[in-house]
Amino acid sequence: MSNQRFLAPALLALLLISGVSLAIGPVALNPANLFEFSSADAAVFWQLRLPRVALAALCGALLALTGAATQTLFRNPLADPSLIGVSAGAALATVSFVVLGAGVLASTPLMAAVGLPLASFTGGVLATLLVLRMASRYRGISMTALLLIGLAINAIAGAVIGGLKYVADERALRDASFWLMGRFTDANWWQVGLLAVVLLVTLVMLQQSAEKLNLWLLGAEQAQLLGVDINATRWLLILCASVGVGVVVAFAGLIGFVGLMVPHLVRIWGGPDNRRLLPQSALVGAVLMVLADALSRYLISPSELPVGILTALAGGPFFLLIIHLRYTETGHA
Amino acid sequence: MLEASNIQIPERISLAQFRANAGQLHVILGSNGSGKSSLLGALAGLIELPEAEVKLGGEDLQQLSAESRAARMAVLTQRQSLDFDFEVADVIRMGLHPLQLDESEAQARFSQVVEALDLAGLLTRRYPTLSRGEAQRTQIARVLMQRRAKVGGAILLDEPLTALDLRHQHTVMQYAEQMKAEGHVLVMVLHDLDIAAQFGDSFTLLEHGAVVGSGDQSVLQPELLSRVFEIEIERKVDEEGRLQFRAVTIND
Repeated sequence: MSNQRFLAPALLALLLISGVSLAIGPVALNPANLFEFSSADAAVFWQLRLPRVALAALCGALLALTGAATQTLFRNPLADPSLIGVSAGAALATVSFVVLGAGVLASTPLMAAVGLPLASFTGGVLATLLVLRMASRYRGISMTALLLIGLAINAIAGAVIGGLKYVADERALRDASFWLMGRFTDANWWQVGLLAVVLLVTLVMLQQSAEKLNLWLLGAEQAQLLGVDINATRWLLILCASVGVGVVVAFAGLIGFVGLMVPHLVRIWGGPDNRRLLPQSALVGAVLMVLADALSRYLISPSELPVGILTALAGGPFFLLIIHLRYTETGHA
Repeated sequence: MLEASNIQIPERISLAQFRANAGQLHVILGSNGSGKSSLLGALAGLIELPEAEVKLGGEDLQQLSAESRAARMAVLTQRQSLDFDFEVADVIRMGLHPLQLDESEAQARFSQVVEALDLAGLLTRRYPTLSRGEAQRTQIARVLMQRRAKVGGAILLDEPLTALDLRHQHTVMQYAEQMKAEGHVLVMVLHDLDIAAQFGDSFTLLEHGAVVGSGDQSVLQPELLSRVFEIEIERKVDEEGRLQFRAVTIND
């Protein structure tokens, strides 16, 4: 399906689901009050619900887009952004901060606002750099080494996080657990603004190289022989994936399976051409994440489920189905 | 003309001079591990060799960007993989990327390649579902789409006939004749001596990374071939004057 034909229905779906999502919450809002800016309804709508829905949409779009970029990077439709270590590093940094640095976080209002996202983003980028450094060899980067080192870093970070949770007090444990399960509870407008900029820049950069990314899928040698600057392409993909996932993780915690699932879904009806896959994945990711967030608040209202639980619940079985279909169709996954 | 000199890769290949003419097919022969693919990789610029010189039509290829190089030289390597569900037609069209062809030229080239390599029935098939031979023909088609827009390009094919049935081996070689006629330099690594002798104009024989023979058909002597391939090889000339080779096994 062409991008033009896809855009209108996808945007419509996004608006509809966002509209429904905005109506969900512990207090029923009166639409007539929304522009009475002094009313409590307006405060709930403009300061809580709208940034939250916007954050969910942006996170979904970025996760799906970076998922597509990671699958291209590894030339493997089953690859996930966590493979380059970014989520493991972010998780480790955040949990360390929550468990060991509670005093620092509470020290100044600025620290309370940006301390955790900043630590998370820094941890994610540092872990990615570490993975890349270790995977670098004399000529470029070995993709197999990247994959294996990413797995190892994930395992190590997981173990340290486990240890930290073991020594954490009850409150820190609860905070860390919620963060690790992904949530949009702390959404605010500066997060929305920053994510919007990152999404736009990432999408434009990847989309401009979309045709080269298709050639990259033939293998590094073939891409080079077709005139693609393979180092520039590799770094573009790594940069977009690590920064994109880094900012999402910083604001919303770990939300699994969206990056894996959405590009897969889009490929099923739209094929693997990156010129269509990238923008369409971003849109579908936004729609699905807004939907997941709405469900997470609706299912056990007035309480709410961490959204990462929902995406994993839907994504796990979906992933198994994809593997099953690939094995039965082509004999390889 | 494709010329190279001073190609040295320790433990793999050592070659002082290489030369393949435009409008001709140059065949590289040798046993497994003799350095054929390394030679092709060096010519293609996949292996960086600062000491070496590779020129196409007098133009130093090492001075060119990957993109300009790709517009002059189309290369099929042995390793091909694509795990994404691109249709065969999309894969073939990827070869057009480095070229600046207008729509009608591109379409004409596409139709010609598809017909010549008998791919019309496969165009909407998804690449990962192809058999090895079908995938190989698709990749050859992609590489031939990439041939230089004007005469004097180079086309390098590493074992293009691998996994192809007899008919399609000949389909590929017939089309190669056409590429020669267009004025391109053709270089192939081949294992089938009969096909090599039938279609090749000049030859390089490699043994343990060194050139042990080069020149026209007269270089294909049974003694030399037996040494290069480490098995006794007989040579016959059939009624039509074509060379035929046969390995002599112990059971004979």
